[in-house]
Amino acid sequence: MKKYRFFDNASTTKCCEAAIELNRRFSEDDYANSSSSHAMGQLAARAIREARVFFAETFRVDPTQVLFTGSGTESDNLAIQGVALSQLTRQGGSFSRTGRPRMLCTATEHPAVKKSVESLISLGFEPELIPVDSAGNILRERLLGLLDPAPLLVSIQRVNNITGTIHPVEELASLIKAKAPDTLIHTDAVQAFGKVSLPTAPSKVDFVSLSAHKIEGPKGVGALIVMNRELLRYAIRPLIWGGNHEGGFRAGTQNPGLIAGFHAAAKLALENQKARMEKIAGLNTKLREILAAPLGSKIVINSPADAAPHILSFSVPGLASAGLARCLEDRDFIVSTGSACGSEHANEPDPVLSAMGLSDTLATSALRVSFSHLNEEQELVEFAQALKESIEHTAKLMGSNRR
Amino acid sequence: MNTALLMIRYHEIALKGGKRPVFEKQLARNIDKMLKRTFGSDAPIKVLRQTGRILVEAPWDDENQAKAQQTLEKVFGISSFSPMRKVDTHIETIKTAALEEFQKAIAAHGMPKTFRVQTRRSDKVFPESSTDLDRIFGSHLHAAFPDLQVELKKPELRLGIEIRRNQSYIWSQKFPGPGGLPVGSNGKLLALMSGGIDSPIAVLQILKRGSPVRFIHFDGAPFVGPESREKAEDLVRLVNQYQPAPERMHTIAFGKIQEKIALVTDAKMRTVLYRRMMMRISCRIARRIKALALVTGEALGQVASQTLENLVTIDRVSDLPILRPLIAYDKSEIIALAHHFKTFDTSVREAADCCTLFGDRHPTIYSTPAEAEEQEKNFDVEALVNEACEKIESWTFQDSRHNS
Repeated sequence: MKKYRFFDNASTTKCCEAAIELNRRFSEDDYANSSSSHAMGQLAARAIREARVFFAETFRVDPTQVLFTGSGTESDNLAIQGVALSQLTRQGGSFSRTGRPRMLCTATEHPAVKKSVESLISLGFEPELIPVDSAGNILRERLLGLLDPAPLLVSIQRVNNITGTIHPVEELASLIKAKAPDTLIHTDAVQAFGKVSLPTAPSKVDFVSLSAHKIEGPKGVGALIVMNRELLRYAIRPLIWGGNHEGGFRAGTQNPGLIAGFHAAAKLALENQKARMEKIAGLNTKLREILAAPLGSKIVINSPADAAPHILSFSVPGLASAGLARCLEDRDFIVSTGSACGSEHANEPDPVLSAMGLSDTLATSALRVSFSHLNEEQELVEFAQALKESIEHTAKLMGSNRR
Repeated sequence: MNTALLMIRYHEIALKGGKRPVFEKQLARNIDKMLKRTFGSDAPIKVLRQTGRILVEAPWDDENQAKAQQTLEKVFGISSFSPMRKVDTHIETIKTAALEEFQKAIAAHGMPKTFRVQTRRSDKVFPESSTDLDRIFGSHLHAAFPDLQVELKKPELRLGIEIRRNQSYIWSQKFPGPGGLPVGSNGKLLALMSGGIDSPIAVLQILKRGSPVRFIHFDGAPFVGPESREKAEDLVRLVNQYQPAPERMHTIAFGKIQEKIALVTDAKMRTVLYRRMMMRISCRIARRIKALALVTGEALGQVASQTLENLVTIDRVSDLPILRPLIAYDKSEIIALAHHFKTFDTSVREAADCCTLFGDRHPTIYSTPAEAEEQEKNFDVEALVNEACEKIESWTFQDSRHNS
């Protein structure tokens, strides 16, 4: 197989050995159903229990407040749709008399949050986007202006998936709850877990979404942490009905291999967070140096200086990001033109960058480099050369079409 | 599985002369193959050739009628078909059954103003002539519905009676077939499938004239995503439903070749240059698979590369005829056909087209072969054609059955 230098770790990461082995073990050796009472089933149930306790201790909540799901996207949906449907149910199925509840999210959210919030319009909710500045930071005055009447839920990501912008979610949650104490707060922490600090209970943040495969865990598993136990009684309605798995909040036979793999990867990520992030910060500094040196074309860095260091977005104005990314791929470097969840529309401006007010010129020519601790500085030295060549090559291909 | 005997009609006028038995044999074979594709190879299907028509015994009950109907509607060469009611060959029995069939037809289509009975004697078991029998059965029906007028030329309702030695057959319903000639009665073609609206319709139009069609797709990867190729595959799957034997799609890795051309040529000329390369490669593949000509979905003047000047420039490099069944069609006519053949929804799925890759926003409208040749001096045409023909992926489509 071709050896690529993988700079797309915000889309996914290489699965760690421990997780691969656990997945094998619970598929091949201890493959019984974790809901079965026999000894073999209980082995699987035990692994899931240990994972649940690990996350409970991490977020200082009760194990019942850890809900395993199929992905970060599902966790976001369980929080957003689950809260909305619960409210709708309590109102007897329509909001005709009580007014349309507001649902807020940042304008730069991942589609898992943004589309989920926007979809609620057809159920009688009123979705609103919280505007951001050119660094991707929430405009606080505008946020406060959206709190009367009090929204049902506000969703603010911890780390943006395109620029790495860090949102002070707990601080914002306090501001929101000072004005609207009953509003629920959700944070998509998929890009933040194992990289930056996350809330622990008791917290003004009510829901935290996590995903395993962004931290070297397996694909196909995530979690929703319900930070306040009371919320389990009334605030969320399940999206998937069936058996009593995950406390009835997510029916369907559990996958002990994936959940145990998530546990193993999360443990490694948190134990080594400091060392890994120091290395990654070094890579980020090096990349910024490379981009500051002459590369044959002007380069604009879209990520703010204080962004999470594992993600860096930059644009080469005038060149199409898709073309640049292909040229880099020819030179064995994998980078991203945007969120993998939206990359089929390669020629359209990146919606996150557009929401930050960036021009189409910048938003159509952006590349995202995202690191893991497995990347090395030497790779970046080679990347500098590859980027230079790719810029020349793409400019030549685009000819008179250069924007 | 209950079966019915179906009478299959075809336009005899299209089948004149010495080719007629060839056409009939091919049509009978196609009906057999396509029904077996729908119902499985061990289904109770019999195809009998008779003078001027084909009789088919096929599954035909509440559960299977729609499937059989949908299958026969895709067999080019059939002009219409009718399920027939089986009855003992006895005048009184036939009279009663004819009345029943007549009432059934009225229940389904409403009361007609005019009707006629059309009797055919495959076996001269009765002494009366066919015309006499028409009159006997007709007056029996007329007695039951005295307001009805007899109309021999263009009746609103036609009741057919087929007299045979032991069992006779009655029909009143007539389902339209797709017309045309049976696929396989003409030579093989190679069609350039882009994934757009036009190429599948061009293929269907040419299948209708009896040529089996193999497919070639030019994949712009890695510069375009997999959507375009997947669309082409899905369209081939739809179009293959009209061929008795599903044909393969050959995919050419074209993106890197386009890149090499783009690096050394005028952006305004690139689309025409790509099209010339596609024709050269297609000709090579056509010879390899023994196809006699190429098919494209081009319509005169539809886009920049389809002006007459550009078509001439493109044609110059092809040493095989290029059939363009849609050359004189309006886009709206092509779209109407795409809706009719149910390819439209697949064709309009979002996907990048490789023809305009690295191209100028304002490509040339009037090119000449000399200009194209001048540009082609900048790269090694032969080497790139060889490169393209070396790594072809061929996709064989499952001979899909629609039931278990």
